[in-house]
Amino acid sequence: MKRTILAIILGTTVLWGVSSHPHVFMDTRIEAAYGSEGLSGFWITWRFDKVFTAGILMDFDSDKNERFDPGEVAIIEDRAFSNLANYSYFVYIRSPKGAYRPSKVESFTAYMEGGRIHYRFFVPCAIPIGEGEVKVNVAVYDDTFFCDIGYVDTAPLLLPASDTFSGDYTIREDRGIHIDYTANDGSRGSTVPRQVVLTLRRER
Amino acid sequence: MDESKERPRSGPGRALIVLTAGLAVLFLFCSYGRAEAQGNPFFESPAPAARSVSMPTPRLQALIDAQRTIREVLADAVDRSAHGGRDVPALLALAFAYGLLHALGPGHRKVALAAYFLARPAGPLQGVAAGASVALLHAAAAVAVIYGLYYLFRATVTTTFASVSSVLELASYAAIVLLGLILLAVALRGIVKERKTGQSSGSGDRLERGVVGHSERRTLTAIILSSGAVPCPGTALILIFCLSQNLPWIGVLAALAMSLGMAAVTVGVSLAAIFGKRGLLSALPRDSRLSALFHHGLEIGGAVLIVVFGLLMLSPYLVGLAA
Repeated sequence: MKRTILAIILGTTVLWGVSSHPHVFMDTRIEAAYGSEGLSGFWITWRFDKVFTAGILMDFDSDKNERFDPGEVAIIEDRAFSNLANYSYFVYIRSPKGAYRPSKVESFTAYMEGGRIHYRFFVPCAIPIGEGEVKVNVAVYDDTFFCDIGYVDTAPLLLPASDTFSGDYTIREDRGIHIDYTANDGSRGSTVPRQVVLTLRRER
Repeated sequence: MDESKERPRSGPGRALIVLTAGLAVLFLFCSYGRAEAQGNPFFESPAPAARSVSMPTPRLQALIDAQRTIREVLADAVDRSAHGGRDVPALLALAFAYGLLHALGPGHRKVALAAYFLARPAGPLQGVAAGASVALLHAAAAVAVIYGLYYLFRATVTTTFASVSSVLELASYAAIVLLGLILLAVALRGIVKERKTGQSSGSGDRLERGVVGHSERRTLTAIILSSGAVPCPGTALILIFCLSQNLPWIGVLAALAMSLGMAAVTVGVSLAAIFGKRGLLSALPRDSRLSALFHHGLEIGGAVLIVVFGLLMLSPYLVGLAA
């Protein structure tokens, strides 16, 4: 009987094992940017955990001053960021134009704040806002499970002040709304991460 | 007296063993969909990190959140030690907890271990030794690689680790495939021999009772070495953090504590496979055709699982090489 109980406990423990396996923990903030016709894209900021930060500092902060000068930022972009193009920078966007995963981003920078490294970059994605409401879903999610990506507690999404456009948002995990995507390597998939659901409109 | 012949074959205890065995076997099959090589997507690597199309369930997300919290608290504890704090025991307890939670996710060779113990005769002692050895080796490899890189190539520890790790993983998965093929050949040879002579080789009884011979010791050692010699990325990151705080010895102790936490899981998986197999086999009528079918099915199935596991883990590297 003892063996039975032991086996059941172990078996149950084992069943817990079918799970993800993150090594990097990061929080994201999304900032919408407007152009003349509607959305022009999103600024994405990632705040990393202290352990990942230590690794990047060790390899790329050559003068050990815990700040990154433009030369160091360029090296970080080249060696510890640009490879994310193969993963569409973990960004999923769905709008009335369809599903979109970026293959390139702009204006990358890296900086230290509160003892943690931050990455910040712009995802160009023009979405016109005409008459009526436009719904846009944005998710930042690593489907390789190497990174666990959450949202910052305070102001996870920022909408710029504008006389032309206005909007509001919710963050939700809606298992009824899948984000279908085709990755850069041609593989297809569907995911339902916690996503920002933006509702945008043109001011009359 | 051969007590195995007098064991009861029915009752609630036996039913529970069979149920548990079923769950353990189900786990092995379920986990295949998620057992994929995990490269670091930030760095260029010969193997692209494998994608998943599924999401963690809320319960599993809670496990991830717990890892996140424990790692933050662990980093704070290391930070305090670097500034004269004296909470090393608490730091090691956190490292143990982090290792345990970390190993509950995919990886850490749980599938290879469990498939081996389904396929080959082994007792609980072998399960404990193998599970603990794989976890300790996994962490020891991280210490060797990270400290080696740190003292030889101080400026590129994180990025070089990703490359070195990929090469070691490639070798490990290739060895696992080879071992699986050897186990498959052994199983098939036993079946052919039984057919030729018309007599049972006794492998089924050995499988159920866990009678370990010389060849089993050799193959188990090979599985342990090929599985454990790959550095654990989670341990590596903790080591890098400790080195960044100029605490190399705390890093070694934290890696050891983490490996003990991981061992709790790998030992658990090994024992679940051993007891699960015993439960299944003991529920079958002795010396029956069905029993023989199951014995051979487990031997072949376990070996095939090891081969498939190795190939699945190898596949991102093969895709990377072909690209």
